[in-house]
Order: sequence, then structure tokens, then C-alpha cells
Amino acid sequence: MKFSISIQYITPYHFELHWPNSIDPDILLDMARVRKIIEMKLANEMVNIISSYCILGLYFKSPPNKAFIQMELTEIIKDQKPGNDQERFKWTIPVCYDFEFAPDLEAYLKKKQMDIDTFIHIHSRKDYLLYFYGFLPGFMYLGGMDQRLSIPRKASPDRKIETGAVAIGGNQTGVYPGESPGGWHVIGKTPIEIFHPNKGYAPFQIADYIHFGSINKKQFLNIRGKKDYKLHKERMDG
Amino acid sequence: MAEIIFKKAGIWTSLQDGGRFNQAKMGIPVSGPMDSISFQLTNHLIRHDPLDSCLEIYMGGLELMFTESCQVVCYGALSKISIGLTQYAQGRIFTVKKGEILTISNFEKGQWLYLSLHGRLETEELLGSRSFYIPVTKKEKFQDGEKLTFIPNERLLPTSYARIARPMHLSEKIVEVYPGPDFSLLTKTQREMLFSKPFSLSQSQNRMGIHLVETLTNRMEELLSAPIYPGTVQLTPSGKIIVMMKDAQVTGGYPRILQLSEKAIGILAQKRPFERIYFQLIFF
Repeated sequence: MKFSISIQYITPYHFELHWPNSIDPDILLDMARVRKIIEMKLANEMVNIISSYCILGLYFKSPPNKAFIQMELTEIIKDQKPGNDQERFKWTIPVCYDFEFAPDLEAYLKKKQMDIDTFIHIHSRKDYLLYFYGFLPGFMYLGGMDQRLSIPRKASPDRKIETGAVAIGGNQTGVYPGESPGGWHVIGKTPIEIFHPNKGYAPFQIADYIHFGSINKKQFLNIRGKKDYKLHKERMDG
Repeated sequence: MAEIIFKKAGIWTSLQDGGRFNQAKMGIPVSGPMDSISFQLTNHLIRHDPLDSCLEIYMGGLELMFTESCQVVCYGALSKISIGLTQYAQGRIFTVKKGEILTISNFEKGQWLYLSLHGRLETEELLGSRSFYIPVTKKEKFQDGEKLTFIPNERLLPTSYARIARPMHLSEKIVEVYPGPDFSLLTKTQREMLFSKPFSLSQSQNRMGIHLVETLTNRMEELLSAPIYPGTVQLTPSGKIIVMMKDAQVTGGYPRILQLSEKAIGILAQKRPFERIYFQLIFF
């Protein structure tokens, strides 16, 4: 076993699997593997399986037999069959960094003493790893932002951040899938709908990579006008 | 087509079923009833599946006109339930006749009341649930003047005069909690404070969470984002205690100090701002 994973018993309905406490791509992949097996074996018994950085939460509909679950989980943790690895993709989300679509960008650059080209280069150069969805439906927790872009969250959150806003808060960057209050600095906007609320669907899977592709205003309007815009994706090897 | 017309829709009336399962993977909360004790009894009384949909009513003040006759039952918070001058006890099945207006007064005790009817409510099922939650559903509550379509069941239920007792949990002050995953990070003083003193609910509460008035002196920092369940109790760096409820986000970074049982969630949900509760530690 690569990691030591402990089973925590919270209540008769809530069990958790704890990996070592850190943000680590290898933990993410290991958790994705375990999650997939649990989904195959136990999905019908669950209210939810909740992913996070290093804890996988298992919330049951009715209390399972503790000894049985302990046995199942121990077996699942040990199951290292390579066939359980999911197919992974790198997606390009188009982002327009035009001041018109990025209400906080000017102030952000001033605070960071950075010019816009350098900023766009650093932000759109990285491949961000999708750890999990949380905070809002369709909100991706992305890992791997260049620390040079870090900025503390706003002291008081804005009442309204627009759908599609690309923002930075602390050491993280993300896309607002819907309108929401928020304390992050909006530095760009994507014209695409990354989450279809009532279908509960975003194409990106946990452990996929997200890349932000810089586009200009004309391209932004062009993509937004399209009903059938196809996101660019590449298969990741291994 | 049979309809309920919300002449007065109240402050926050929504439709809730058992919840939206297995959607946390997209960051979608489970939703479902704030007080599942009352919710399940309501379904039981009208002989529905325990997780079937009910109207969930917050604080009362409703007038519902029925365009067709239908048997209904209400259970949960205490209120005057009446048609014209006739009052009906909660927990008892009665018929609202075609064209009549069912009035549910402002609540006298408790916060959440469930109404179910002998028939089927015609609402959209999205991602496996009918529970209102924006952005999955288009609305989060009913507005004055809105209509809800239903299909009454023609085969009437027997309406015996036997009825069940008033919900006891409205007066229950003990809220049972399990140690949360981060319980071990609490200091001895913090633990003593949690279980020796009463806590009161603040006005800052909704279907997402309930903030308590009293704070705990706290030096714990934020942690890496971890799973949140309905009933998870979070402690913020400023010492605020927040009990996460049914529409809460699925992950969060504050220490998870306690975990309420489903029954405890119902007990807490029925308490009004400034009412007091005592946490009682139980173990699994």
C-alpha cells in the first residue's frame, strides 16, 4: 500500500477514510481509485460519497453493520488492480482576461505589481488538477496554482460574483459555476457554461486537468453565441 | 386539473422529499426535510413511502385553495389548521373540499410543519429528487399566487378519530451529538464549555445552517477542506459555532467538532432564535 489509510467511525451513518493530511496529487489518484470501487460496490447504500483533499466521507442511508463495512473497506483499500484507474483528460477552458470581464484584475495587478501579460502567461500556462467539487454545485477545487499569483481573500466578500467568473483567492484559482457571493478576486471570465445545473453535469471528472486558454473579447462573444461549442480535450497518458 | 393555489405562500414554503442522493460528487447538497421526525410521520400518516415529498412550511401564515377535493394531513410545528371556522388537529387526516381554503396560522411553537396529501404532487424530479434547491430546481420556495398541480387519490383513506400525540421533540432541549472528526483538537476547557452550558440559536439561520449565539474561545486554524454532512458542527477561527443543515455545502475548511444525529437535527431545527439547547455527547 502506498499510503496508510485509516477508517474513522463518526456515527452509525457516517464513516470516513483518512489519508495523510496534505494536498498531494498521488493521494487524489489513490482516493479516486478507492472511490470508484466503493461506488461500484456500495452506491445504492449511500446518501453520498464526499471527496475532499485527504478525506473521503461515506454517508449511509441506514446504519451498515460495522464489522462488515470494516472488512469491505479494508479489502477495498488493499485492492490495487490497475484496471480501476479511470481515463483522464486535460481540458481547455477558454478565459477572457479583458478588463471588461475581469472587474478586479486592474486592482489585483496593482497590488501584485505585475503586468497583465506576465499575469496571463502565468495563469494560463499551468495545468490545474481537479481535486473535487464543493462550496457550490459545480465549483471545482483546483490544485497547482503558481504561488506568485496568491493573494489574500477580500476582507469582506462581494455580494455578487457573476456566472463564469474566473477568480483567485488565497492560493487557489477557480471558476464560479453560478452567481454567488464570494471573497475571491475576479481576474477573468469564461464564456462557456461549465455546469448544467438541472442536469447536474459538468464534463470534468475528479483527477482531470484543467487548462485556461486565453481568448480575446471577440472570441469570447463568438463562443458565447455558440450553442454547440466543443471544449478542447486531450487524453492523458498514465 | 387539480391544483393547490397559494393564496398566501408564507415565508418559506418548499417541496422536500428524502433528499438528492449521490450528487455531492458535483458539489450538490443533499437537501430534504429540516425535521425528518415530523416529515416521516406525515408520510406515515398518509400511508406514503417515508421519503415521499411533502410541503415543508416555515413559520406558517398560509392560505391554500384546493381546486379539487383531497384528503390531507399536517404534522410538525404547532399551529391552528382550519377551513373556515372548523379547526383540525395535526396528525389527523381530513378533507379539503373543492374550492375551500385551508388556513395554516402563524406557528405557536416550532418552526417547521409538513403537509402531505392523499394523492400525488406533480412536480419535476431533478437528479433523483423533487426537493427545491437552486440552481438544480428553478425555485427555492413558493410565491403568493403560485399553483401546484396534484392528482388526488380517488380511493379515500379511512379517517378514524384516533390520532397521534403532539410532537414531543418540539419541547426537547437535549441535542445528542457524536464527537466530530476534529473533536480531538478541542481543548479540555472547550469541551467543558460545550457540555456544561446551554447554547442558544441565533437569528442567523436558514436551510443551509444555524449559527449559535454563544462562542467558544478558539485558537484552532482552518483545516484542509473536508466533507460536511447535515448536522456537522463547525467551529470558526473566531469561535463561532455553526450547525450545518440540509442545504449546506458538501465540503468546508472549519474544524468539524461535533456531528448531530438525524433526530438531533430535527430537534434543533424546530427551535426558534434565542431558544436554548444542551449538547449531550453520545458515542458510537
